Parts: sequence; C-alpha cells; structure tokens
Amino acid sequence: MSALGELLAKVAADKELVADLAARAAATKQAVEDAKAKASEIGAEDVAAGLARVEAELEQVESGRTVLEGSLEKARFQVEAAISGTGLGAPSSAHERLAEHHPDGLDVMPPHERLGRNPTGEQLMGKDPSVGPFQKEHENANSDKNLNPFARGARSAVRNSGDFKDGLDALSKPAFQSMQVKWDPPADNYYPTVGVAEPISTYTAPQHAQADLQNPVGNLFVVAVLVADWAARGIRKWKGNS
Amino acid sequence: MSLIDDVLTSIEADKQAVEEIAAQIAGSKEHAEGLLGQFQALGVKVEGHALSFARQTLEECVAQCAALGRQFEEAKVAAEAVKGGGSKA
Repeated sequence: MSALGELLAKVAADKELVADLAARAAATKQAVEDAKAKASEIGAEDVAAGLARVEAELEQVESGRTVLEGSLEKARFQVEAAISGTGLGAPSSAHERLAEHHPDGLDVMPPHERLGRNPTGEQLMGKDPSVGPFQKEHENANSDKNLNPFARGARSAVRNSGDFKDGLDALSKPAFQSMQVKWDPPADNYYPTVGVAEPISTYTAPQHAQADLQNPVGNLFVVAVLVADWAARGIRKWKGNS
Repeated sequence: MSLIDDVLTSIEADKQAVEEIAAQIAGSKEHAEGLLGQFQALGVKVEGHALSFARQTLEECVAQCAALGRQFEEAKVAAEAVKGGGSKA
C-alpha cells in the first residue's frame, strides 16, 4: 500500500473511532437521564438540576463530536484529492500557468486561490465594493420593465457592451498576439507544396505586410449586440402590430 | 449514589476514548507531515497541494478533539458537583 493510501486508511479509521464514540456518548447520556429520572422520582430537585447540567454538557459533546467527524471526512476527501490529483485543492498547474501569464488580466483562478480562505461576498461576486450595488448594470433598470425578456437582455447588453468588449479583448488578445509573433513566412517567399503526380511546384506568395489585426473579436461582439437589439425592436414592433 | 457513580465512570471512560482518538489523529497528522516532507524532498511544490490542506484539516481535528476532551472534563466536574451536593443534602 502506498504511503498516501496508508494515510487515507488512517484517517478513515480515525473517523470510524469518532463515529463509535457517538454510541458511547449516547450511553453515558442515557445513564445521566436515568439518574435524573430517579432523582426527580425521589424529589431531589437540586440533584436533578445538576444532572440536567451534566446532560447539557454532554449534548455539547455530541455536537462537537459531529463537527469533528465532519472535519475528518473533509481530511479524507483532501487526502483522496492528493492521491488522484483531482477535486478540492488538487495540485493543478493549469491555472497557475494562466495566472502567471495574465497576472492582472483574466479571472481564471478559483476564488479560494485568488481571495484566500475567507473571501467576502462582494469579492466572490466579482464586484467592486466602491461602485455600490445599484450602479452600472442596474442603472436605469426600471425603464426596461415593460420590455420582453429578450429585448431586456439585448438592451442591457447594449448598455454594458463596453464591459463585454473589454473582456473579450482581454480574452482574445493572447491569440492575436501569438499570431503576430509567430508570423514567420519563408525568407525567399517560396512555399513548397506537395503534389501527388506532378513534380513539386512552388507558389509565390503575394507581397506581404505583417499581419496587423486590430483585435476583431470585441468589435464583432459589439456588432452582434447591435444586431440583437435591432432584432428585439423588430420583434416588439411585430408583436405590437399583430 | 451508585447511579451518579455510574455516570462518572462512564464519562471518565468516554474521556479516555477521546484522548486515545486524539492521539490517533495526531499520529495521522504526523504521517501527513512526513509525507509532505517527502514531497518537498522530491521537489514537488507543497503549498497549495491537497495534502497540505489535509494536514491543516487534521490539525483542526486535533484541536476539536482536545475541545471534546475538555467538554467531557466539564461534564465530569458538573457530575461531581451533583455528587458532592447529594451527599451533603
């Protein structure tokens, strides 16, 4: 058995022990209850009250035991993740690499990696707490109330198209950058091609400039948003007529 | 009052069991630490590894186990107080 497997078995055994403890604690509590019943039968109120206190302590023990069992289960999952390399806290290198390439750009790391162990709700929702909850995308939201859902979506996409464009630019920038960097035509302008029957022919490329792409994805999206809003208007009008 | 004595011995036994479990969990934690040391010797990056999270969780488990033992201790004290009061009355 591997060392990690041994650890897994150990943690599982610990959990079993803690689970067994539940029965023992329950038996103890039963004994306390019996004694308490006896005491109130006799009429010894102070003894009964003291035993009730003991019982309360034992109830706290039970809740602490449940928590401990849950923690051991968590530890077991984490060891399993360490074995299989998947799941919670798995040793993945993919997001680390992305994070190194885009230290402040893309939002690809899971929240517990980016924000530490106890992120706030605002951090988790990706909202800037200084902006305030009712600005930007919620701005003027009531004016869309009478529109249908599709038109509302299209309208809000128009309002936030700047954000969309920024995000898509950031997303597609690496691809276009690497396209530009890797633009490497042969020095003598000859591209050898492979024919089946013919002898090898050559193709002379037209005079080329370096590919100068102005990051079309974001602009394309803006066009798509405009088309969607236009379609929404059309649908609204058509519905109004019919 | 033998019923309360029963309760006391029962609580005592439970406390013993909890201490044994605490020792076991501490052993598991040491095992995990040893494995992490081996990982480090291999050159694997340890922080952020699932096993280091597991070690942290096991550390929490040890603390929770100690708290459980203290809770039993308090229950025992309460039961002894009952016994003392009972014998006086």
